Amino acid sequence: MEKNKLLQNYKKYLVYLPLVLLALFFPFLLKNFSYGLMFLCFCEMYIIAVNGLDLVYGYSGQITFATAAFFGLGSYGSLLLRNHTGLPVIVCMLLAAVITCIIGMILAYPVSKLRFAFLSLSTISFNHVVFQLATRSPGGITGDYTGAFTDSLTLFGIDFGNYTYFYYFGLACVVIFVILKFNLVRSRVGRAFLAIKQNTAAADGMGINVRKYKVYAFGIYAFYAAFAGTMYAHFVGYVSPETIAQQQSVIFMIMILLGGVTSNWGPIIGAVTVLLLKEVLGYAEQYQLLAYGIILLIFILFLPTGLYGLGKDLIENKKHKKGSLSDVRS
Amino acid sequence: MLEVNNLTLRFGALLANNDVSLKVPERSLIGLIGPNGAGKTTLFNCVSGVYTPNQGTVKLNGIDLVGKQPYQIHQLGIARTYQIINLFSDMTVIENVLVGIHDSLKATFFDSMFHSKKHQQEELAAHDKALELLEFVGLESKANNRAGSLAYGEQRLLEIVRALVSDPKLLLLDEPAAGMNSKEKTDLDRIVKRIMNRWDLSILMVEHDMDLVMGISEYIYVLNYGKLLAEGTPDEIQKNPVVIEAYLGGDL
Repeated sequence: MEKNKLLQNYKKYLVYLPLVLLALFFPFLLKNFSYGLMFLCFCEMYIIAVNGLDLVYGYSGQITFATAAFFGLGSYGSLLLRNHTGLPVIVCMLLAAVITCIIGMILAYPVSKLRFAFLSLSTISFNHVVFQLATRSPGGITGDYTGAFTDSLTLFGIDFGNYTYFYYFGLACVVIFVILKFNLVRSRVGRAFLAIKQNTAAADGMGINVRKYKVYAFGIYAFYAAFAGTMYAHFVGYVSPETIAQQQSVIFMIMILLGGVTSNWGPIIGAVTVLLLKEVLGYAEQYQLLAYGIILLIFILFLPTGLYGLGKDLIENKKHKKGSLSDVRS
Repeated sequence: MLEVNNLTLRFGALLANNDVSLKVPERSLIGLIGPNGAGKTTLFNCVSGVYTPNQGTVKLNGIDLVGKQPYQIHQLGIARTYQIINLFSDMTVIENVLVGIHDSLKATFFDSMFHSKKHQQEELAAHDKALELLEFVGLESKANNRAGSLAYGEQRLLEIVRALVSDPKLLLLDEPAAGMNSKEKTDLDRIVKRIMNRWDLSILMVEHDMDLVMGISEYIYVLNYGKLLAEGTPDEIQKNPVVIEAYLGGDL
């Protein structure tokens, strides 16, 4: 019985094999199209950040518009650490992510008492604080409005400034972060997040320390966003305040809403779709925000489960119809 | 075991609970009745930490509960159900039960994140326990359904299971039979008796269904306008003229 279950589990994951192979072969498919490969590298960073956002917004139900701030704290943090201490880049990346995680938890402690609009407003103001800090830094260490340069990632003597190498590094990161999230949401912590989102009073009554778990959720969210930010810094080699602009936080939110909350595929679908849209709409930059606004409205009103939820419903409906037909026949 | 002494709670000028004292001994089933608005649920909310009383003490085995948060009181061994169904309706039935077991699980944050052996074993055991309890009330076949999709009576049973799974010392049932049909009520009566037989716990139950509450309670407290009106065994309460007056109105 147990063994059968295990086998079934493996079979379930076997479905993803073609996808994994495809992901591994992308650099070969895009050999003569380096822009496409660069695009995929950006996708990887955004997928990680949006997964963090899914934990805090999708699972624990806290609406936050500070993703860009944490992303920026990660990228500037890693950049500053690298440029001023000269530690290996990977160490700077992890350190910056951990520091941002702590900042996120400190922010969450008072903020977790707030709800709905008040919570989002306070995260928006946090985003502004970080933006102001980056553009008017003490001694100009962040390069203010012009931004600052830093080195690319080097690991075991391999320079990850190369798109192909960075793509594989990013892919490994995505897999790790997605698996960690997947584990977390299936555990007591994930159930606590969902319980808090659905019914805070009942969660409290069932022995869940609501505040503690809200702070946890914010901490991981900050870690995910910040790590994505450090990847950005050392991939591009340059960070400008644009990455922390409020508008960026909104774009992260659009990604998660478009892809679908509380799922493994939602953040991936959302991040890739929005980045593709950005490429397509790049020619009509002034209409970008307008387009996002309309898309957001449509999804909130008609497709609250996002593209992932839509796809799942379609597949399940098909199965259901098939099932009922065979029932009739037998 | 549970001792409430001179508990008073004011909402502005309204005295929701006025100088209420009651006792729940070990392994007993105590009923709490009274007309609508008498302050029964308010008393539950004071005991479970939702409200902080203005005066008086609430003690569980000598531990003061006043000023503690609901989650802390749950961890001390008081679990409750709600008058208005308060499930996590978009989670599955078994997930609801597993939330109830939350504070007896020991896996840390990192155990969960890295899916450690300890965490896996604990999760398996928790699943078994949750399933067993669902079987106890006859909901095992619906374990993977959305909690919100259950029938009303089933949702009430699920609330009881969600509270029971944490092995509480005291179970607070707030109108468990509300909205149930007569068959479901008979089932509930049997289930409550079986809970008393199987677990080493006490139950404090608010209920409007007199057949049910008179049939299974060992001792009954009557509240009216926030004040304790009477107390006694079911027989004494049924014969008590003050109680009859409160329920049917005086001067008939």
